[in-house]
Amino acid sequence: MKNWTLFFALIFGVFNVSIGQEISLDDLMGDINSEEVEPAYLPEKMLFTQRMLWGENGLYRKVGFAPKELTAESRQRELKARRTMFKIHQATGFLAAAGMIGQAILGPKLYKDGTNFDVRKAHKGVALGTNIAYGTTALMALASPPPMVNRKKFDNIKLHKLMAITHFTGMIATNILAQKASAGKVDKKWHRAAAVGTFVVYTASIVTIKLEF
Amino acid sequence: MKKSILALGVILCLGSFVSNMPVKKKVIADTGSSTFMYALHHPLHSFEAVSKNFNGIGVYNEDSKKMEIIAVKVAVNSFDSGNSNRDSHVIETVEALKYPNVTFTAEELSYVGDKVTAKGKLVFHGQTKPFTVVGVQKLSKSVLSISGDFDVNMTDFGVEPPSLMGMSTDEEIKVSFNFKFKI
Repeated sequence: MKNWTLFFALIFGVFNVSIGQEISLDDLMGDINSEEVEPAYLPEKMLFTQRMLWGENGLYRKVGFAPKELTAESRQRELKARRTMFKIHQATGFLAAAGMIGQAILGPKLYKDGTNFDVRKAHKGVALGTNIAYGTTALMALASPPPMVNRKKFDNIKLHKLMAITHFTGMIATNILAQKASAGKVDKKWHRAAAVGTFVVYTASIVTIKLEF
Repeated sequence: MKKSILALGVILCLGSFVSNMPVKKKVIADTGSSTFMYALHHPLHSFEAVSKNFNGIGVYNEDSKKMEIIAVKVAVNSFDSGNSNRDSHVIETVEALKYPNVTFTAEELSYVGDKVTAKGKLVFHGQTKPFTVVGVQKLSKSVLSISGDFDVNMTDFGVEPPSLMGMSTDEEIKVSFNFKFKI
């Protein structure tokens, strides 16, 4: 009986000491760090072209252009590539805008005097430059690796993308109508209307970057 | 021998009851009512980003009604500025895949009235630096709140300010917080 009493006295004493110990910073950090979860490297939502190229089973991963297995390091490299492509997207986007402004000056001159071959040549040359700059801008957006986050909420970037569909269609229409007008199959006014409409939407899509909502 | 063991048990019991009464307790910030955000200034527009995925935990002394230790951890990818592209850019800039969290820990908390100064360490972008945060403590019946703001110079932690349209943001990240602990 006495032995049991001694045993319990000792155990109870030790237990009391242990529960009365100070809470240390390490204890707090242990609590905080116990909830670590592996982050998702790809967003749930991404552009169809990005999913096709950079998705978990995307083309680039199949052909070995991008790592098959996503790791923090490989995804960080993809984000760096995305940043570079984004900078090119911005630069060529502004070049395309400059080209459109140039066409806005050259176009009316050509309407006034259709026989001025210098203006016609310049109009064609600037059109080619604008198309190349525009195409590069679109390629950089469509073929870039996906961002880390892509929330469902509608924001100015989503509007920017929606407008891109409109001005992309406008660019195709402007080019087709230019060919047809040149061949005398349609009135030039339709080419001009498509070009002006495209320019307006394109400029508005640049402005959306500044507007936050 | 038996008497010695008995004496030891009694001493341990009494000692622990007298010197370590549970006046200090662990308190956890309620993420539902607490706020944690940062603001960045860019020449085109300034913005704020809010996180709801952070851990704030501390040791509260019920006798002195003061916090004695505090630890806060926030996941970089949890901030929402209302623009996915921008948040993604920030994640990339601060290499959040490599360094997913920002933590602040302090064991040296001093009070002057309701103003609390926490001297500790800030871990950001994988770099640890001594850091001081000043806040204001308010105590109600069952909630202790600490609020305040501070600036972090991102270049001090090896982070290049993110840029848009060829223009960089300010180097200063303006952080503000309001932690509410149930006591």
